[in-house]
Amino acid sequence: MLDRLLEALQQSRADFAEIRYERAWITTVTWRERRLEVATEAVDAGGTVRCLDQGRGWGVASVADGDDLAARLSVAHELSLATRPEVPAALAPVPVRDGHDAPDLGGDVRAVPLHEKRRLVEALNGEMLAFDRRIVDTRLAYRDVVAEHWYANSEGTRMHGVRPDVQLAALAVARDGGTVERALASFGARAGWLAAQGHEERFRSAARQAVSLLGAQPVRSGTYPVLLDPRLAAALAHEAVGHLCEADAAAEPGGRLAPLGARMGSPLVTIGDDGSVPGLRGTRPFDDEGTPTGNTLLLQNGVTVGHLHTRETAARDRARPTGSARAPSWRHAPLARLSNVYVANGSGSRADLLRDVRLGVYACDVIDSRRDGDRITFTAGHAYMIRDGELAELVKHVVIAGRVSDLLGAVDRVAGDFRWHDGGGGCTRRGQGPVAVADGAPHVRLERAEIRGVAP
Amino acid sequence: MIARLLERAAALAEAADVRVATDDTLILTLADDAVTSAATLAEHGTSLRVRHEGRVGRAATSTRDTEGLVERALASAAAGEPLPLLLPGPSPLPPVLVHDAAAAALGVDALADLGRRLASRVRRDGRRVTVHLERSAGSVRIGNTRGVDAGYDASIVAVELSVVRTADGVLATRHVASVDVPDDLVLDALAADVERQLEWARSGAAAPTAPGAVLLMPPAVRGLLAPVLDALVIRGEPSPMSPLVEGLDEPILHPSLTLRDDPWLELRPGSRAIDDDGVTTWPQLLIENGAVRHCAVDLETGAAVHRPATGHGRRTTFGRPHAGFSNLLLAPGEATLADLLAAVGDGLLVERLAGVSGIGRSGAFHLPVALGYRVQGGEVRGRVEGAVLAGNVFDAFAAVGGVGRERDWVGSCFLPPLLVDRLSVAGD
Repeated sequence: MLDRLLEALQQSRADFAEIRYERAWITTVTWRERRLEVATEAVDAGGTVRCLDQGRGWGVASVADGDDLAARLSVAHELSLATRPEVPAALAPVPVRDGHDAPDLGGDVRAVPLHEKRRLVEALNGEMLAFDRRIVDTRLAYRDVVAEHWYANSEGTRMHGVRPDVQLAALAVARDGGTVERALASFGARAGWLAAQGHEERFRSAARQAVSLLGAQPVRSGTYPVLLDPRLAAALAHEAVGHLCEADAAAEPGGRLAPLGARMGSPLVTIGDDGSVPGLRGTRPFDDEGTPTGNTLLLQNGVTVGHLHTRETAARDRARPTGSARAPSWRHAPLARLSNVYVANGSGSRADLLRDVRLGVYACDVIDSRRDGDRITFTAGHAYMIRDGELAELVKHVVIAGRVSDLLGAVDRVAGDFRWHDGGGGCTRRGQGPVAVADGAPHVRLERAEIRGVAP
Repeated sequence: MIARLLERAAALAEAADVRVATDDTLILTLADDAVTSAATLAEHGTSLRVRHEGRVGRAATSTRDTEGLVERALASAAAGEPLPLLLPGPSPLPPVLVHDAAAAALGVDALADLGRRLASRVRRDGRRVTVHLERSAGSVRIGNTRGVDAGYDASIVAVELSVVRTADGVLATRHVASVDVPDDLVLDALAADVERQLEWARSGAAAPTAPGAVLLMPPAVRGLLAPVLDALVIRGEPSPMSPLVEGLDEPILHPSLTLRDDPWLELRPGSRAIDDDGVTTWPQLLIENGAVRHCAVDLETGAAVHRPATGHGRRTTFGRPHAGFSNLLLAPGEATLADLLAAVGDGLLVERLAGVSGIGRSGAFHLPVALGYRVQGGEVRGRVEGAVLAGNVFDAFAAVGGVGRERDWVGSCFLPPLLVDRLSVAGD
């Protein structure tokens, strides 16, 4: 395949040309309550060619299975010549590479029969249904993907590799009279079938959480000291800082890019994105332009110090490409995207952060997050009141809302108990489908934050 | 290819159907008159469904090579649940026009010219104008082992106009989609709507501090409509989260609300004569004077819950078959916009909400107002920043105090503005 790509590139007359091609084997099994909804296998194959001429913008054309690559490169070149942007696109230099990515597939999912995957999903769903008679609805979705990909460009870079991904995601709904509550749980890994085993307790916990929430009182709206668990703190880093540091964000109408040197939060807050951490879902050795991934500091001691770059945004900003050009599938051109976002470790334990809180909220897990401009809203999966330095009663319907700068500025303690979250899901942007990401953080305390009690 | 696949599937399974879709999309972005990027995406997708030993299985591919597809579908059936799926037979199709040759043939130059003509209507100093254009030309063909062999060609021209006023960063945006090429009247209306948004946002105003009347413009109505539409789709057992029950005599929503689904509208992208299950479509009344009259059921769900399919079957190449609507028309009322503003008194007008995709089936919501205005004394006083709207969609649509008489298309929904008598608003 790489030889085919290189041969076609030699015929292109564009100043720069690249071909990305992918072939993915996808299995989906979804169980809802006591019934199988889906058990199916699919093959998705195709590619994208991009051309860029000096003084122009990108011309992009898709490649279907069996298409004449040289002809599609010609179409992309014509499209590039049809553009006349006020600020022409250019590419920051990266060394020419010959890369190969062959991670351990951890039990290649392609060798596992569909009925075995069905049995796994049925058993995990059964764990939730059997937990309590008040569990009235469940949903458990399994999805695995093995994507083989090839990349070559006219500068000589060429890459080939395999990207595995396996995910489990569950919803448990509990009902008691007129009260209905839900809880979510998920698992995701850049691995295979072996990684999908042994998650019974994770999904039993979701059922337990939904049932527990039936008896919890809604939180009373107000302003409190708020302790974020690592999951919620990581989600805050992803939404509040990560997306504002994607260097092409300002290209969207109404989009915002955090200016370098601007203070966004408390001096205790350091946030970064590292696409090279072994084993995480957002990890790849190279991005979709052939640039090696690595660790990029975004916020250091509360001040913006870095952006996530593609080769194009790096050239525009005279910065270094950060290996952040990512596309969810062959259908899309790469954008500057997050990979594995983290809040850097501080010191102390959760108990240390609780100790001097007289009345506060310990917010755990996240079931929804959204940002509009510089305002951000999180819905916690569940929460506990903090009374006199101790965890007290379970409360529900906890929504944390505020301006990004106010929330990050209110951080007064960061614990030393960092952990990566191994959940599933992904990150969507600009109408593109989800790319696999991970996030991690320690416990983080906000001196004060607005809490609204809103039923989900 | 469909005939070959069906022949092979029929030899190994009790029944089968195939959906083959093709699409060729041209995408341009113009910034201040110049084309900044151009892309073309061609897709081909085949999805096969079989019933084998009383169980249903599916397989799909985006490759033109369908080798192994039947075997994968049979493996899916072997892992599947028993389901008495009965495929439809052929029936006469209504004439529904969803293809326009001129639109399908739009090339880079013609599409860019369309964008420039639109941009010229709103270009001023101190503005950044972006036009995003997509021209799609494709086809859908559906066949099954009972003799259905049907399909249609389709074209869509979608235009999104966005204007950022650099002085205050206000973003005004509007989107239209049609089967044919938008004419000058459509472009004029699009530009006028964006100008109205910018004019109303000329100055700032404080958000109301107490719950009160909220006027929802059509894009905000569309956002809040999602859980209502979700509740109108039968998925099996009724969701414990949904307060809607089909066939109630008593209105669940306000009696002024009547909602129709019309798949036969000429030149609308949501229209189609046949659904993706091979069932002939027809217009249906979903909500009449606030009471649910009909729900949407796709073929597989219908087989599971013993209900006839309603012609709402949707299938993407890789997605699970499900029910979805075509063109949704909310009946207009009598009120002019001035009437509705006067009725608001002191309250909020919401143009767009952010994050509407996150509203759950219960209808509870807590959403940032992406663009909204303070209304006082029946007049728009200025843009409100940082407001959050909270409540429950079903409660809000039960407390409608007025329905506008002018409707706008928002995607495939034709909607009037709605006045909701009381909603919770939180500001900065």
